[in-house]
Amino acid sequence: MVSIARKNLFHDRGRLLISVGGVAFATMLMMTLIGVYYGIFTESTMYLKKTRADLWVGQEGIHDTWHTYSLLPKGLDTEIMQVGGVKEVHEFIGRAVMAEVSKVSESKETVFIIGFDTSSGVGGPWEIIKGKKIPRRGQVVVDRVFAMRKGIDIGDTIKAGGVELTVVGISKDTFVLVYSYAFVTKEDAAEIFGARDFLNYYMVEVENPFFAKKIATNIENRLRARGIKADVLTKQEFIDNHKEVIDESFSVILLPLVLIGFFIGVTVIGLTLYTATLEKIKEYAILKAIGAGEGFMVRIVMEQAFTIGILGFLCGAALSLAAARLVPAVAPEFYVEINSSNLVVSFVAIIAMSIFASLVPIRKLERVDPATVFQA
Amino acid sequence: MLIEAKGVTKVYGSGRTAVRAVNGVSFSIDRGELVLLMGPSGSGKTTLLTLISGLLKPTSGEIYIDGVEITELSQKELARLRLEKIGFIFQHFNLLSALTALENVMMPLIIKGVSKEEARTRAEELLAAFGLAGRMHHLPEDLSGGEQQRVAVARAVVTEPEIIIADEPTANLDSKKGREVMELIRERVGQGKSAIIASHDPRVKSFADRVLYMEDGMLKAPEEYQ
Ligand SMILES: Nc1ncnc2c1ncn2[C@@H]1O[C@H](COP(=O)(O)OP(=O)(O)O)[C@@H](O)[C@H]1O
Ligand SMILES: [Mg+2]
Repeated sequence: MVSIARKNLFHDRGRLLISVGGVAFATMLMMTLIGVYYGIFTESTMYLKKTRADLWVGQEGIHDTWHTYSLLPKGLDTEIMQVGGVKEVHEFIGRAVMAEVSKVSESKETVFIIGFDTSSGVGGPWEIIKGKKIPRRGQVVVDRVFAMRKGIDIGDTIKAGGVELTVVGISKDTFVLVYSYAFVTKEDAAEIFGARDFLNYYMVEVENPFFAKKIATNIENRLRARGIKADVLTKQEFIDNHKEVIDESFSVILLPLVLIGFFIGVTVIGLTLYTATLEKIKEYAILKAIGAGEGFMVRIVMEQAFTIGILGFLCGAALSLAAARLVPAVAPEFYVEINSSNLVVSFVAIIAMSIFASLVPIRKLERVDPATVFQA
Repeated sequence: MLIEAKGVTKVYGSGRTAVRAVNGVSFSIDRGELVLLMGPSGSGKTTLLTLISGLLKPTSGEIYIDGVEITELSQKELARLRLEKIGFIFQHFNLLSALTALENVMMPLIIKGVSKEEARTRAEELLAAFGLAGRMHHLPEDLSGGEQQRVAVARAVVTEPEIIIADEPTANLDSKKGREVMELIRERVGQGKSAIIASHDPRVKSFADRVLYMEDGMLKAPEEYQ
């Protein structure tokens, strides 16, 4: 069709550019915020996803690793192994502590020390970019972001809980929002935490993950019969619990900002459509006089709205993707995940924006009196 | 009879500020007739055209277009009627400023739902016949007044409407251009197609089959009109 909508819109290039820019900004704001959300989710569940554990045995009442604390006596692994379907059991001992970087004086930072079984490697780092994967006593594998921020490398030392540790490896994808993981032997971890008789979780690998839920119940019952109150979560339950926590904080912190982005978008598109409509109001009266119906008029506004919305989205998405690529090179802790869900959510938001923004101009056009065409 | 008005009255406003712009007007126009509506400024010509276009509801009276009483129709039905049966020409040309001459002429066809290709072909042929072949891709602002009005005539007739309604189509043109525009309209009238043209331009008279004289909202016999 002869797109009067686009012709009218492109007639004023400056205004179009400003509004597309505004929508691009709104898109970037939303995509970045949603990307932060997905990024946090990915970072914080990466350990659970990468670790060979189908079940997590923790103290009764456990929910996630942030809000609930789990402490169990050592030595339950033999008991858990008795439950049918269990293949392997490993200890997880980990806690956030202050670490001092010896090289940099007065430089303390929270790290989450994880002590793992170095013979099986279960619970340890999964991807190493430098050095070795398995530390020995007195050694530590630190995260890439931590190493970059502190300017440390293989051979440097850090101190945690009074224990001096030499960096022997640098791992990837082991940074979670505010702290990074540091991997040590479980013996060193016990020493750092000063807790020789306790650990935090047992990680259970089962023969057939299909029966994981049933095995979880059996482990709970068996431990209960021994007087130990434990809760057993499947990997997915544990991941979901973390997601729940992230969702909660997202809805209070990030969502309002996303909504601001949304309203910026609606306002920018709305104002552009409104001024573009007012400017040509006499011409819309002509169209109505000729015989254009409501549908035709609505389509004009909608087409303009979608043109601005989609152009803005494309620019905003391209800039966001570029930023998501480039920013981690300078600030690796800033992880924005622009995945397909993010793109879809943002796109749907832009479409919704365009529709909302059309409402007032459409009302305006509905009220145009075609009889005015005869007036000079 | 293509157009028939019976005792049509239009009062603008109410109370002490009420203006009786059209006052008990009755007339009819046959198919194939070119009727000129003459009268001084403020006599109610434009209001009468607006009424028979269905763009304004009369305060009282009946208007028939092709046998259909239009004062009872809904906005939607009136829009349909205008699209199907009426072509408009205005004093100020009223082309859509962001569209080229060709696109302006295509517009009524597009609104009617004619395919873009067909609309283009028909509009091109018409513009060529109107001597505007070389000006088709220009925006209105790049056309002279005479060219703009010829484009406007093309837009009015491209759907082959039965009625052309024109309000002062020559008022903004010099006499040569005015005559050209009137010739184009004249050529289109006949074979069942009619036109009603409001004008106080005496030169238009020679193109008319019949003249209606209007004064103070009422039609006068020619001999009463000075
Ligand atoms: N929309 C309107 N509201 C109020 N009065 C109007 C309106 N349009 C026209 N009039 C009045 O109606 C009378 C007839 O006007 P009009 O139909 O424009 O006459 P003409 O076209 O012959 O100049 C005039 O007195 C004019 O002031
Ligand atoms: Mg007039």
